[in-house]
Amino acid sequence: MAFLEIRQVGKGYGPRARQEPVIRGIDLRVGQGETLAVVGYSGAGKSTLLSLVAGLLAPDEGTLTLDGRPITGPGPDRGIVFQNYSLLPWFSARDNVLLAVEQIFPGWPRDRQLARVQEMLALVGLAAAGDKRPRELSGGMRQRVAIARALAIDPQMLLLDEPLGALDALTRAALQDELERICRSARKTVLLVTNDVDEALLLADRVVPLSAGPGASLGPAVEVELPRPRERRAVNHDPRFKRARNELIEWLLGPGRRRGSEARRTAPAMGLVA
Amino acid sequence: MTAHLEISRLSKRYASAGPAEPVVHGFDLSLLRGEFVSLIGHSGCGKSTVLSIVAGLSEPSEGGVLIEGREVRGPGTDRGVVFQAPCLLPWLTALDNVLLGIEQVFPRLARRERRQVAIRYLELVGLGDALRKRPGELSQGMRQRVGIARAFGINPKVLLLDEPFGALDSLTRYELQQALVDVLSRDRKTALLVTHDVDEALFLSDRIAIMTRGPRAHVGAVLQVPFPRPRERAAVIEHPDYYRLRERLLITLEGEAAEPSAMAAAS
Repeated sequence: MAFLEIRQVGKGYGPRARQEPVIRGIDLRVGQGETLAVVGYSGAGKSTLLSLVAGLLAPDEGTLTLDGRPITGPGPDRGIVFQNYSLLPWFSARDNVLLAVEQIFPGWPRDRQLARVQEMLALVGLAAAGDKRPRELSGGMRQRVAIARALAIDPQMLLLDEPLGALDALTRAALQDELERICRSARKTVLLVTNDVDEALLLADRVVPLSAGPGASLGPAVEVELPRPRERRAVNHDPRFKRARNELIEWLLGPGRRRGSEARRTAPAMGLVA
Repeated sequence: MTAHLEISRLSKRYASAGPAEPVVHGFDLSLLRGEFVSLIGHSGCGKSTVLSIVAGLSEPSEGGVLIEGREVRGPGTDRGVVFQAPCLLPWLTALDNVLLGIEQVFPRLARRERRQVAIRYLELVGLGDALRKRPGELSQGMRQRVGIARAFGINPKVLLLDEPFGALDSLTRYELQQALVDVLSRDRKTALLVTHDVDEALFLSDRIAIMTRGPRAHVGAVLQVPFPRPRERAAVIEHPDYYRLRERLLITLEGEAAEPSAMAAAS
């Protein structure tokens, strides 16, 4: 049995949920230690899917199991990183991470808790910025703090919800390379959702496209057979990168395209749909 | 052949920067009629400075801009501009936002004809069934489609695009680029695009001008983009030169990889 198993999952919001689910018929298995990316349009239901795995939402249909046990709510076995960082502004970077460590390891002596925090800040390259508050940090650095916090509780699985979506293109490119390194050294099972095919290909072992909603469903999985470490520029002359990238883009802009085109979609996204 | 849009010996020095060096200096670029050229470069290198001078929103310190041989001396309706944010009036429908521009530029045109022009472009950008929607009811991508329809509606000689899709997610960006290509294939314009998205530049352009690092930024290398038109995404990314050009542009923008990668060695 796979580490994470998602079987025939569907989810909708509001009274019309029965007629128009956001996602439906989702089948997905993620192996232990695997990094899997789901790539799709904004508003297609990627965050809904991730929230179901996080246990922040319950499915209307289907089942989700983690390590053989049904997911019934949030838990410390899953660490989440959101697009908007979700740091407490009045706490330093160190205290934001410490808060999570105190919750999960209340029995640890103080110095062990602090050592854990420092270790995680070092992993994300912020060893010297522990005293800084979120507003003193750039967007990229804030997201590093959020990643350190998610990893500090030693989760079995890391859930990344458009982790680089709020960053400008150049910071994003730099942090993509960094995130690839962090994920490699953390050795976690990772589920990433993103709208960026290149980000998915740089980070994941396998990429699954999600069609446009409503009623979004998964398309054919693409194995990413690129050796690591991966590098954004050099991958361009690897035929495996070209093939995987073209397959995903052509599926997303072709069969996976939103029904009736983006133009027909109404603007305000519901609830957790990003 | 003479240039349709000519940018010559352009230099721009900002007063607030003191006696410092000009941001842009010795910038030369000529576009033929109907040609699509992208300007790419590092962030802050002065790409948008050049575009705003061509738009007439900023004055050059030296040099100048000619459109059909006439010097640009301020903003004008011979240029349609699309910015990152479409700046629509929130209380007007998509149709009325596009009509507003057309009324300004063609006040003598009959009301019915003005509406026909506006509807035609809104249909071309894929908003045929959203004519009566207000900006608040439209997604970001749809609002930018209105911005494109508005720019074409005034029938400009030159289209100026300043990171028009920079605020959109990457898949919506692909869709909008296709919408722009579709309109351009019906209504060819001389166009200058500022972007830092290499896939966008490759998909849209006939040539890509790479700016050097500022200060004193100017045009360094110019790449010819060989993909046949009309362009369609799948054909473009399957073109044998696509990834070679893509890598070249990424290296120009971001520098060589810090360490030789395993992949480079493997292939």
